[in-house]
Formats: sequence, C-alpha cells, structure tokens
Amino acid sequence: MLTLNRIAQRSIAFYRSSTLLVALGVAAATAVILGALLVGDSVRGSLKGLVMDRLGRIEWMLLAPKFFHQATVQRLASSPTLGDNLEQPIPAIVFPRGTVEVARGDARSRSGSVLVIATTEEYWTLGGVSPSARPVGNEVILNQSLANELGVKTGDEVTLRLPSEQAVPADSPLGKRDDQTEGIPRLKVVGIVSDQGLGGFDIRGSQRASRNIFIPLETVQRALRREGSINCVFIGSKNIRPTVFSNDEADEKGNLLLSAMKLDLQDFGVKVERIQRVFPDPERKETSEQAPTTIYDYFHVTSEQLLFMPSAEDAIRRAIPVDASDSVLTYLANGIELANPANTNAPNKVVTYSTITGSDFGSTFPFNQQENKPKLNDGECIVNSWLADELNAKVGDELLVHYYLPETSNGKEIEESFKSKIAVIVPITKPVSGFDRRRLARFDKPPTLFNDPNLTPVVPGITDQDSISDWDLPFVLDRKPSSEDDLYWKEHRLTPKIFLKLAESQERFGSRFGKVSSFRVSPSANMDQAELERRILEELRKSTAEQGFMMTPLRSNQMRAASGTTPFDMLFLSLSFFVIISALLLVSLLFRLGIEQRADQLGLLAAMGWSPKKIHGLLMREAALTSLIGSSIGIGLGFGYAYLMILGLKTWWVGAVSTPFLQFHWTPLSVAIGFLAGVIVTWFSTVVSIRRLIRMPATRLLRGQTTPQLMRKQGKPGWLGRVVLVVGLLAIAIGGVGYGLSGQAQAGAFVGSGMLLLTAALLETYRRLRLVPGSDSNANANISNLPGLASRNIRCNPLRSSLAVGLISVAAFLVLAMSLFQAKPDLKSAGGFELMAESSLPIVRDLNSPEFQKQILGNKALQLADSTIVPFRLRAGDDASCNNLFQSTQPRVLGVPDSLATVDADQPVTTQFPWAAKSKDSESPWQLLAKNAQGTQADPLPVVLDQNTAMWSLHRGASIGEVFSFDFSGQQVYFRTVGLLQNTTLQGSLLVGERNFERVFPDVVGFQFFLIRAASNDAAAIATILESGWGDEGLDVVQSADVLQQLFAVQNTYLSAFQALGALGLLLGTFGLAVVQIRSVMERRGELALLRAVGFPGNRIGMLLFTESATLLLLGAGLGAACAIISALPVWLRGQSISDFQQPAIMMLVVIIVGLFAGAAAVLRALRLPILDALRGK
Amino acid sequence: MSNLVVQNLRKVYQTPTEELSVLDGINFELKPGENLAVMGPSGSGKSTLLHILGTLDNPTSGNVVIDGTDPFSLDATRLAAFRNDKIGFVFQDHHLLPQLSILDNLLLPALARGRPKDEAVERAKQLVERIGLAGRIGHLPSELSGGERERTAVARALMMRPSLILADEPTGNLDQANATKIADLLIELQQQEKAILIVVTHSHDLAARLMRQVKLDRGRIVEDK
Repeated sequence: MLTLNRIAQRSIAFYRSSTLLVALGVAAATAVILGALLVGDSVRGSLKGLVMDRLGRIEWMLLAPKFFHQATVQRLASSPTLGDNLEQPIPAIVFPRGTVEVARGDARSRSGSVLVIATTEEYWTLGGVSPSARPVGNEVILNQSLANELGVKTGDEVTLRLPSEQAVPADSPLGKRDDQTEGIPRLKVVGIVSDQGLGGFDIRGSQRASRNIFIPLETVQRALRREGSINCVFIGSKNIRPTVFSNDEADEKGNLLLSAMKLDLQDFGVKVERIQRVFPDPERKETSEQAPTTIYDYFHVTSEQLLFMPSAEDAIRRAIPVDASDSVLTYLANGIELANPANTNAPNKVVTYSTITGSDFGSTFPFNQQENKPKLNDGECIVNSWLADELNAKVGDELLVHYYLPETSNGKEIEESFKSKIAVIVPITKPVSGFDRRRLARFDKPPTLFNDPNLTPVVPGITDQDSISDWDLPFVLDRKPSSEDDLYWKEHRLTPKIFLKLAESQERFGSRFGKVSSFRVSPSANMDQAELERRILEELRKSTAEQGFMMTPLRSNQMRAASGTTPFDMLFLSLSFFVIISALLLVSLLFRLGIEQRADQLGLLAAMGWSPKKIHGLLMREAALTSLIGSSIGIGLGFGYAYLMILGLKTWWVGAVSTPFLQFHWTPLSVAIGFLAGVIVTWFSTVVSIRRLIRMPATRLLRGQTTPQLMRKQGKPGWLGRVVLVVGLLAIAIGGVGYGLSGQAQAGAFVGSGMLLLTAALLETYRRLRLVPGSDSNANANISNLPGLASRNIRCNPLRSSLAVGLISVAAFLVLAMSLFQAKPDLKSAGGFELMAESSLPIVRDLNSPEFQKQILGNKALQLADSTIVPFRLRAGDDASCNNLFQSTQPRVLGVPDSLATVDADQPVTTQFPWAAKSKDSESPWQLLAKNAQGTQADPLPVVLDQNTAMWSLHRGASIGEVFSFDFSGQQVYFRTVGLLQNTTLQGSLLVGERNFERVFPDVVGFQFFLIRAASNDAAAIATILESGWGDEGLDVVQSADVLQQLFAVQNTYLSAFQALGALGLLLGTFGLAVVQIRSVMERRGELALLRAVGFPGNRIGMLLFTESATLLLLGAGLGAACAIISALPVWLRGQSISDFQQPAIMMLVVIIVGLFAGAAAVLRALRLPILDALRGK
Repeated sequence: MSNLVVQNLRKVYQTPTEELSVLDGINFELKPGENLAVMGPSGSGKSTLLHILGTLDNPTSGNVVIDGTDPFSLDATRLAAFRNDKIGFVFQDHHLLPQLSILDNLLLPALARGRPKDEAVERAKQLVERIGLAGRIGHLPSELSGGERERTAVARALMMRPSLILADEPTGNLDQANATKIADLLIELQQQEKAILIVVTHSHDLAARLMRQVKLDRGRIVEDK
C-alpha cells in the first residue's frame, strides 16, 4: 500500500548516492556529538576508576585532629554495627602533610605535603595491588610518585618529619613556635609500591597521584610517644562496588560507627577529677589540733589543651548544672606593680610571672565569714594577701598588670598592660613547707579558699618545674623573677595572685583557642564523679563532629566528587562546535541540493492537490530516515572520534587534565543520547534547509526552478542593508567599549565585536549576491571575462553561495580570533610576587623578621634584605583550581593578612592583582576581607575568589554579593563574594580575612602559604635559601610563572583544542564546498555542455568552475581573517605579541590549500561529463 | 449550468523596469464533456492560462469558477483539496516519480487525502488496464517507453475523476504514432469521464481533434472557433 513512509523509503533507495552523501554528513555530526558525550563518560569513568583503584574497598575513614585510644577500634570491631557489609576496622596514624627527606652526600632532596600512612598489614587487604614487602620496625614503603620525586630506590634510607603534638596552640604565647616537627631518621625503604591500588591512596579527590609513605603503626606511635593511640581508622567494605550515600545516610551511618567506638573522655581530651582540700590533711602529713575541715571540695573539669575549645566548652556547659558550677579562666601576668607608687624615687617593685584568675565565685567557692564573697565591679580586682604585702598595696590602690595578648602576631608575643583597682584583699596562708617535684605544700594553719593552685591548669614544662627560671617557655623571660617570686613559686606554685570578674578576664585573655581553662562543679547527692563524667561524655558524643571526630564516607564522597567540576561532554560539545555546525551546514546543503534536483516532483505533488503540509511531511520522513541511517553510521564513527579526543587528552592536550589518566569509557545512555541528538539536530537542519523550497510556487518547481527570483536593483539598501548598517555600528561600539577593558574581558569584547563585524559582512555578501545588476551596470563587460562569468554563476544561488562563504568565514574567524584568549604568565597575574611557597607544617614565626631570618639562615639572611613575604593561614582542603577535575566539596581556604592590601596597593598598577569584578564599596577587595563576620547565613564571611575557580570549579560565588556556603567537617560556613580575581596564582582557594579565618577555623595555627616578592634579589636564589632554612617544615618554594603556566595550560589547551577542532570543521566545510560544487556542476551540466558545444575549451571551463569554487573559499577565508585581524588590531597596537596567531594561520593556510584541491577535484569531475548526454538532459 | 467559467482574466507580472501583461481579458465557458485546444506562439500566455486554470498560479484580476466554486477564494489547504478533487494535470514531461511503480504513481493523487482506500487502488488498476499497461503495473517509469510514460501520466490525471483535465503539450515529446495514441486516449477517457479537457499545444493535428480551438496572442484570445 502506498503511504508517505513508503514513498520516502523508495526515494531514499532510488536516490541512494544523494542519500549516502547526506547520511555521511549526518554521521559526521552524530559522531562529533556522541564523541563529546563519550569523552564526558570517559572523564567521569576514569575519575571513578581512579577512586575505586586508589581507595580499594576503604568505605569509611575517621581522621581526627587529635589522638585517641586504639582500643576504640577493638570496641568497634566487636560491635554489631559493622554488620555483614563492613570489614574489621584498621587502626592508623595518618598525617596529610608530612615531609620526607633523603640525603645524598651534603645535598638533601625533600618532598613536602607527603601523605603519611602509619598502619598495620591489614590495610593492604583492602586493595588490589599490594607491595612485595611489608615494612616492619624502621622500614617504610614509598609509592612510585614519591620515589620518583625523591629519586629513591629500594634500600635507600629516608627521614620522615611529622608534626609534633602541641598541648598549647602555637599561636598563643605559651605555645611552642619552634621545633614543631618530630623527625624519624634512617628509615629503610623496603619497597616501592605502584600508584595504582592502595599505594595511591588519597584522602582528597585529585587525578594527580598522591605522594605516599607507608610506615608501621608502632614505629610512629613509638616515635611520637603515643603508644596505644591512633588518629585514624579505616573501615573497608566487603563490596568492591562503592555505595554512594546521601548526606543523611552518611551522617546516620557515620554516627552509628562512631558510637560503636565508644570514645571516652580521654579521647576527647577532657579530664574530670575531684579536688578536695581538707585541713589537716593526713596525706600531706599535716597536723593540727583542730578537727579536719574541708576547705574546698569540687569536681575539676580540665582540657589537655590548657583551654577548652568553644565546641567542647559548649558541650560541657550543657552537661553540668548551671547553679552548681563555675567557669574559670586563668592566665599568666608577666608583671604586676602599683600603678601609682607612693615613692616615685625608688624603683617600682614588680612581681613577675604570676597567674590571674577570672571567675564569678559561684557555688563552688564555699566562702565563710572570714572570706566574705567578694563583690567586684568592672576595673576592680581581688588580690591575695601575699601580693598586697609584696607590693605594699591596700584596698583602693591601682595595680598595673602586664601580660601578653592571648594570640601572638606572626609568632611574636605582644605585651599589653591594664590597670585594675584593688577592691578586696583575700587571705592566703603560708605553708610550712613548699612544693617540690614529689610533694605538695604542707600547712600548719588552715589554708584558705584562695590557697588553691588547681585554679591554674597543669602545663607540662611549667607547673612541674622547681623554679621560675626553669620554666620551659617559648619566649624569653625578660623580667627577672625576684627571690620572693621564686619563694612564692616554691610555696604556692601557680596559685593565682589576682582575681578578676570572669567576663573581664575572658575579654582580656580569651581567644579563639578558648575562654575557659576549667570548670568547677559542686558535688551533690545526685552528682558524683561517675555521673558527671557520664553526662559530659554524653554531650561530647552528641557533638563528635564539632569535636573533630567525623566518620567520613570516603569512597562515597570521592565517587560523588568524581562527577567532576567540568561537564566534559558539554565542554567537548562546545569545543567541537564548529565541526558540528560544519556538518549540519553540510547536511543542510546536501539535503537541499538533493531535493532541488527533483524539485519538479514537488511541483507535481502540488499540482495533484497535495497540500504544502503533506509535501512537507513526505520530505520530513525522507529527512528523518536519512538522519536515522546517518546517525547509525555515526555511532561507529563517534567511538572513533571519542577515542581520538582521549588520545589527544593523553598526549598533546594533556595540559587540560594535568595528567594522562584517562581511559575510554562509554555508557549506553550516552550512545542513545548521541544517536538521538544526531538524528534530531540533523533532521532539524534539513527541515530548515527545505523550508523555503516548500513555499516555492508549484509552477516554478515544475520547471525545476528552486531559487527565489532575483530581487532588487543595485544601489538600494533595502531592509537587509539597514540591518547590515546596524550590526556594523554595534560591532564598532562593542569594540570601543573593549578598548577600555583589560585581559579576558577585553579579548571577549574584541572577539564579540569582530564576530558582529563578520555577521555584517556576511549579510552584506548575501545582499549583494541577491541583487540583479541594474541597467546602468556594465553587465556585459562583466561576463566578458571568466571571473565576471564566475561571479554571475555564484549569484545564481545566493543562499547556497552565502552559506558556503559563511561556513568558511566563521570557522576561519574563530580559529584565528581565539588566539586572543591565549593566556600568558605575567607578573600581574601573580600580584607582583615572583615566588609562592607552601609548607607541610605551619610556620608560626614571622618570616619577614630579620632576627628570625638571621636565627635560621645566619649570614644568608642578608640575601632576603629587600624581599617581602606575605604569610597566609591555610585550612587544607580540596584544590579547587582548574587543575583538579574532581568536584571540590571542602575547598582549601586561605586566611589573607591585612598587610596584603597595603603591599598590593604599594605596587605599580601594572603588577597589582588583576580583578575581574569587585565590589563598589572599596578600591581594593583585600580591604573588604578585614570586615569582621561570623560566617553565618546572616553574617557571611567576605571572600575573594579567582573567577575561574568560582565559575568552573566551585560553580558558586561567581558574582559580586553572591552568598554561598560549604560544609567544613560538619560546620556550615557562609561566604559572600566581594572580589573576583582574574586568572591569578591564587586560583583554587577561598580567600578570607585572617581574623575571620581565625574565628571560623580556630584550630588552625601558624602559616603555611606564602607570597614572596624578591624585589631586586635573585628569585631563584631566594627560593633555595628559604627551602633550606625551613626544610624541616617542608617549605616548598615555586616560581609564580611556573604555577601560572600550569594553570593557564588548562585554558590554553582548551583554546588550542577549540582551534584544532575548528580547523577540522573548516576542513569539513571545504570538503562540503567541494561536494556542493560537484553537485552544482551536475545541476548545471546542460549549461556546461553547451559551453563545450559552442567551443569553450575544457581548460577554460575548468578555470571557470575553479574560479567559482576558489572565489567562495577565498571570500570566506578572507572575510573571516579580515574580521579576526580587525579584532586583534587593538591588542597589537598595545604592543602585545602576535606570535600566537602563527599556528592557527598555518592551519588556515593548509585548509585553504586542501579546499582548493577539493575544488579542483570538482572541476575534473565536470570535465568528464559527456557533452551529448548532458545536452539531452540525461 | 456551465462547469468552467472564465471571466475577464488578467495576469500582470511586475519586473524591475515595467509591468508585463501576460493575460489580458480572457473569457470563455466550457461544459462537462467539452474540450478545448489553446494555441498560440511562445510567450502568448498559454501556459500561464493553464496554470491559473489549474490553480497553480493566481490571476491579477478576473474570475475563474469551476463547478460553481471560485478556487481563489479558498485558503491554501482547501485549495489543495479542491485541486486534488477537481483538476487533473498532464504535462509534456510526464513528471512520473522515478522511484515509484506505475501503480504507485497513479495512487499519488489519492494519497493526498490520506492513505489510499481499496476503491482507489481498484480505480488505479482499472486505469492501468485502460491504458494497456496492466502487465507492467509494478514497473518503474525508467522501464517504460516515452509513450507509455505519457499514457501513465494521462491515467494519473484521471485518477481522482476530475471535472477539469489540463494538458500542457501532452504530445510534445512524442513521435507521430505515439502522439496520436495519446491524443486518442486523452479524448476517449475525457469523454468517458464527462470531464472538461483543455489542451495547450502547438500541434494543429491535435488541436483539430478537439471541439473548440482558441488562439492566444500577447495575452488575448485572437481567434475562437
């Protein structure tokens, strides 16, 4: 039965040569679309493959910022929580940023930021690739990447440097600023394990291999004096295929696993003890006639870190009874003296190194009649009788108290003073014998409430020393303790001499590290020590994440991050844009040509009463069938195209993905989408191509005429002329705006302007091709020569000729103009800082300090004389630069010091950091970072981002004022963008003000990231000096230009890929042009045969056809090139390099030559036509 | 009641330089079973007249009424349906679709209304039989001679039982013998179907076989006999 489908099938079969040509065009378009999708599949598949490979079956990981008991692992192992799906937990100590050194003679090779994994043999059971030897004792295994970097082989010895444990944060005056590393020397390398498998284990997602060292757990525990302690637990899954958890699932399962570990108070670093002072105390061998009396009796809750971090403080407050407890903050005063001494002639007496306690003296202070509860106003203090006697002070006198600010500035202690009026003098009893290392002070008279040294927390190296001069302090005691001070120390140790209101004390001495040094809780009938411990533990366990304990679904998180920052399928679709467009134009041209060849059939159908809709329906069926055939062929080609793209990404485009890790992957979904997309877009392009044909009058179609009648007389612009004028003016306007811009914005404006110019030129070309030469034109003269005749022939089908010119010109324009976007490293992109550095371990002291430089570097410090080093705090996180293909979930955060704004502003404009966008509030967004904020939704932290990081990696924060958030280990932090840097060395991080950084990440100490301006010094020499001076901290100094080169490589590689694929599109266009030319020759075979019949020699006809083909090709290439050159002119006029244009210009030249050859092939085909048959129209 | 009425028909083309009058005041009427030969030199307006009568082109002014309907008052869809129902074309270049068989070529007009029904297929087979090509019903046009192709085109024109058959130089490409056969067939079928036949031709022999002959010159009827 005759149906539309049947006619369509018959037509396709009958006109199979035309159909095949169109189908090949469709196949090319489908192949490119499918190929791009398969590249996306391959990137995602390869990233997921990397995760599965590197993590093996490790499903969960707990990596805590502090040590906890290894016994927790046994508890978890015996818990039913593991269920049937999880393996036994494996204990480990993991340091993400260790340093490994190898000595060769006097020289040392060093690798910083090495992932140190100290674990047991069971670790290797969770992955596929195991090392041949297992390390024991002082043996280690390195992975291939680390071994390659250090140049180490099996049998060599290395030194491992780890961060040493600090009870007191290094940024506080009592924290140790130096000797922060613990070295484990002479570790024998017994094996090099492949980066594949667990040897390449990484706690963060990156396609680059992590550099890992594996060492026995016991070796590290022994070296750190942490036997029986760990900071990490791995839990493997029994399934090889990873489970991807939702956030809620991950929280729920992670919490269950953590609860099964039953972390205790010690794991949280909290200690509860009962402090009871009875007089006389038989244990102290005190004797007295009076009956034993309790002086004070309370539960003392302390932290092993001297102060409670705010999260722990909150948990404990929730656990203890408000009305039966007191908070205490005790701090060190460097000196106490009378503010207004009576005798101004004599040197003022200063009591040195005393403690000051802040408390509100609540229920845990059982005052009796002799010790009335003192009442304090602001600015008033209580002093003990010893201090009053020592200073000869009385109630009403003002004291001047000297103390260090609770946080150092660049590792330097800052001393401040305050005055406080004595409101009360409280008694303190002198013991008959003082403290020594093994004995407590002994009294013969009852001590008072204020004879309580427990008000000061235990600080190893201080509270256990016999004399103040023996204190192990990170700073020099520049006030000499008097003999009386030392006597007090012996008799009372750190019993506070001054008491302030808690609020005042916290205001002066509180910091991000905490505001409470201990809690005192009154014992009662329903609050014994066990109950108190139970309550505190319960609250701490409720907030494990805040305390730093978080069971992370590592494999799930990384699998999710493996979805990638960049949708590579979309990216490659964009990069292949011109190949697709060329293919579609080709399909459009060929399909239309095919239909035009049998235009009379359309006329006939119209004459028989077929409605235009029906005729259209028939052609659409033909087009759809052709698309289906072509797309089916395109599937095979798409696999080949994808394979080539991946080969490109592994070789000459490797800069786009940093490392050649890609493997070919495909999914049926992509094939289906690619196939359908190919069918749809090509079908659509055919629909468009014949839209006008359908509307042609049947009478013309019956005569085989398919072109619209020539329209206007020359000289009248018409509506198209007006459009050309408007578009041209718009191009000039945008170009003018671009002149006032810089960098990529300027390039964008110039290219946009050039594109509009090209549009105007193409429209004008079309307009002119449509024109009928007027009677006044010398039309006869025009065809008196071959170019004139060729010109007339080109005009015969203005749309087809314009499409051919358009295809070539647009491709030529983009191939050339994209060179404008090629980025090159310059000092401005580095903010004028020639060097950048990052250390494995924090450096607390000021690297700019000449004294510190001299202390570390000796005479070499002179070479740093004019250099400037800007230190940044760093919270380690995912690299969110374009070099990392994994989706960043917890990006790296840098704390920007206030000084950067000044340093940046003091530079010439040519080397200040370039901004893509900034808030209008201020000249420099660096200044806006200093605004205090809490990081909440209502009060987000001002943040500066590199535009590329915001747009392509984080996919958020890319506009000024945008508020966005990230979850940092259970803590949701909100940011508000105040500035977007333009393609700088600071890509990949969130940049927040230092004060805000300290507020949000209080546990981060010291500085780990540095920008270094070498000034007049030799940058390379400075790099060497700094690396040698701070090698223990793993300081790694790099040239900013190298960093930029690597960052720009991504963008530049994409541009090169775009240009290469654009050239491929252009090539396809020239082939298309040749095919069109052949078809055109077939169409005009009668005319050509006539020319031959009337005596035109073959070479002259050949020249005519070649001129037509070459005119279109050269007109297209010329228009594209001219507009590209006009776009680039302002850049050249500013003295920028034009070398970037050489490669694409060569590409263009090759394409034109190939195009001319293809045109010549069409000519040869025409010349082979038999004259007589052609004249008969056969 | 007349089945074809042409009143004061004019057709003017606008060229870049001037107005070109192709038809200028054409009037005639034809009844079912009547036939007419239109003759005249090249450029006299014969084909334009045929196209306007076939509703493929619009007149500049004047009226054409076919079976009581002014086709130019219809929208495009209705006009196509009207053409399918009332008009059959025979062209000098038979315009058979080379990819379709004889039968399918005949069924093409029926397909304009949707899938051809059994009676349409039956009608096509009858017509094929009447033109003497029953044994070649499944052949492609390329497998037929010129005369056979033209006969097929005639049969196709009659497929929808049109009121008006328009033939444009139907014998122009044929030898004398074939031309005579085609003329016989065309007139015979027209008479059998009681349709109106208008033939544009340069052939005096063919014209002479028709009931009425008009001669056009510069768009006007200069002779009507």
